[in-house]
Amino acid sequence: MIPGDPLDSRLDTAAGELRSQLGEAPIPDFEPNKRVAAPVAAVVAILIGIGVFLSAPFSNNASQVDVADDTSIDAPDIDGDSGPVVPEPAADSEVDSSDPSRRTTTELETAASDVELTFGQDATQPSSDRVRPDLGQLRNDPAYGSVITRLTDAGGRFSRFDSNRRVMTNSDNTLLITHVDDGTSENMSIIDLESLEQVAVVDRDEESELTWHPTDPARIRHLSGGDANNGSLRLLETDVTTGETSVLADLTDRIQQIFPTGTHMLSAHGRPGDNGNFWAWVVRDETGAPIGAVSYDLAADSIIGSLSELDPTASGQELPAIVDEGLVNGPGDIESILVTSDAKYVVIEYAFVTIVHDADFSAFRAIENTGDNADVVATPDGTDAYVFVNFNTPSQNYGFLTAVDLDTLEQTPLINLFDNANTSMSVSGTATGKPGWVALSTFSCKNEVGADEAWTCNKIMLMELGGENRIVPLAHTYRCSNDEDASWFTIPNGWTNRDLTRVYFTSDSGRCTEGGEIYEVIVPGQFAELN
Amino acid sequence: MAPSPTPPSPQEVVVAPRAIESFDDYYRRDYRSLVGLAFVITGDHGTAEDLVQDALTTAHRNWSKVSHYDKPEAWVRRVLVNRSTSRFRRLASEAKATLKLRQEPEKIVEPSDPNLEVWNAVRSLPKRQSQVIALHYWDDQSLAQIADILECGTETVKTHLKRGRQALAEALGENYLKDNDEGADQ
Repeated sequence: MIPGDPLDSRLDTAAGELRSQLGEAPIPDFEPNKRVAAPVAAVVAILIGIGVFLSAPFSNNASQVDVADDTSIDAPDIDGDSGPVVPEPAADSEVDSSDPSRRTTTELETAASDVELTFGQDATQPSSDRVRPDLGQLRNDPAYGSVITRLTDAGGRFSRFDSNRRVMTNSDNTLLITHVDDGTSENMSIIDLESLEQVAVVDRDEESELTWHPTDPARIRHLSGGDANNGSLRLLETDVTTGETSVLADLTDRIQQIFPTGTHMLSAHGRPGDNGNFWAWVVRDETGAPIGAVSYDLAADSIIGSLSELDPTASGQELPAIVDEGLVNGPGDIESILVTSDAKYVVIEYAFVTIVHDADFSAFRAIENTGDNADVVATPDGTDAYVFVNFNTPSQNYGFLTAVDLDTLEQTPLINLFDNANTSMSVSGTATGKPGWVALSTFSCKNEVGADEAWTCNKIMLMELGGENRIVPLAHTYRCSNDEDASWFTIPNGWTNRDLTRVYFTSDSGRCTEGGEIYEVIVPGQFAELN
Repeated sequence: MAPSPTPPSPQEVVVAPRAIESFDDYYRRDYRSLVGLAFVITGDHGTAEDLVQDALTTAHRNWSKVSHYDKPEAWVRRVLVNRSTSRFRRLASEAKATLKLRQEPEKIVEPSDPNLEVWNAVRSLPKRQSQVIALHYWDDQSLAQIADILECGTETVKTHLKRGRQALAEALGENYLKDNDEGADQ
């Protein structure tokens, strides 16, 4: 401390007053199990209807969605030069009636089959009189006609998902994992996507990283927890029809041979390769400090590689100048580990640098300083890309949504986000069955008060990587538009199912509460016909 | 004045074993400091209490070992700081993305409590700088103690402290820019 230094004095004063405030607060009794979940049996409650989803489909009592006939458009503007092509929304497109008790795939796809696609940077404004739809009610987005359903109810606090990087629907699109907080406790619930009823509760927190089996619709792979209190070095699998949890891979001995003090592992909002076999995790010690990373092939039951030095500068490899600049504080903690769908690369997002590693960690290259809300994406030619919003300066692509070829590190600017409303954006590359397309969800626009929203604002859209970089807007999110009042728990975090027939996002329907709820957009049938 | 007792010969010096503190006593002694540290790092009282609960649960599980450490409180702070970064990963991503997307960074909002401005400025620093400032100014930890908690070198701590102070001074206004490098050497 420096006597008389104004900064020290200011900090001392603030600390003193905080001590006074805390000194008056009672010390609660210690409750060692207060926040520790994850008992041995993962599934503690199998509620209703379980097993039905694996046999005959539910009966269909739902009426057809009335998608108006007058939403036809001219041929899509695929070159993007003549501006967006927008369907005329039907006047009554928000008031379709449907029995929410059952929604069959046939019904939904029929409803979406006549919806015309819109292309380009379209600035059609969201409806000013749109209301929050009833649970399960099929609606048409007022601007784009897409068929939308609210799948969850916020209840006490929220019913949402946490990541734009994970596919939370199972392999046959019949079940959805949702993170529920009823105001007193949290759980991960399984929702039947036809009845929208909760069919199981998985007593895990979101840091158990629940990931559906790539082909078995009843199985979820997951960790035992996200910290030293409940985490481990084991990969588990739970059958949601029986509630039985088994150990898929116990890596304790093998990982502790490499990292003796390792106690638990996380991908931290990452996901495995598309075949469900290739995983990568950061290994942490009992204090939660990251001490290394491993990649693992489940099919071969083999650790493929490990990364014991988490500071890429320590390797002596020369890094690009921009990355050097970002490393003035060291790489920082690992934010997440992403595996490309072909399991060729592992991308690690540190706090201050993003690095692409070979899958066995034998080589690495720096991509950029940072990438937020980004994702890895498979391209049609079989290469891998990392798509992110480039916040880094100096950079030729500063302010652009940017795709990086992970083989060549060549950057391609896609959208200039500083050219309109400085919107924030999440990227999802979960459509591994439709290579070359990403889902973009936007939030926190910085429009001038009273001005029309920019074309990027508060929207769910698809974007093509390569080719003509087509943009397909699907819907507005209708999230609370006042940035000061909007909750983190209602960020859209849009993601897609693997075959890109569905897009999911979170919204509070403009209520400006923490009440995030999950919405589903049926991708219009025309989209499947695009080359 | 009573004569000083004859000092013992070297062979007679007996170092009393350090008294092992019970977890309950430790909990009572350190709880408020931990909550304050977590508040300075996170800016949210509820999140701070959750973080402290997590850290203390980890300590409780390992108390037979941790209690024998020279500084159990340093170990608990290490858990707390590491845990806060994990929680930040989820809760701060939106705020970080929003802030970064503004071409002209907005000035920190003037809160009604002037101290909030200080803590908000601390939290706006890069993570390690923020942690070092919090440990130094809130928790009265020395540079060596901070290095122990963060498992890094003292020089690294000094660098973070210096840069953090510079950034803080810039954020809080020109009155604080005077000679602010000096604190890093204390």
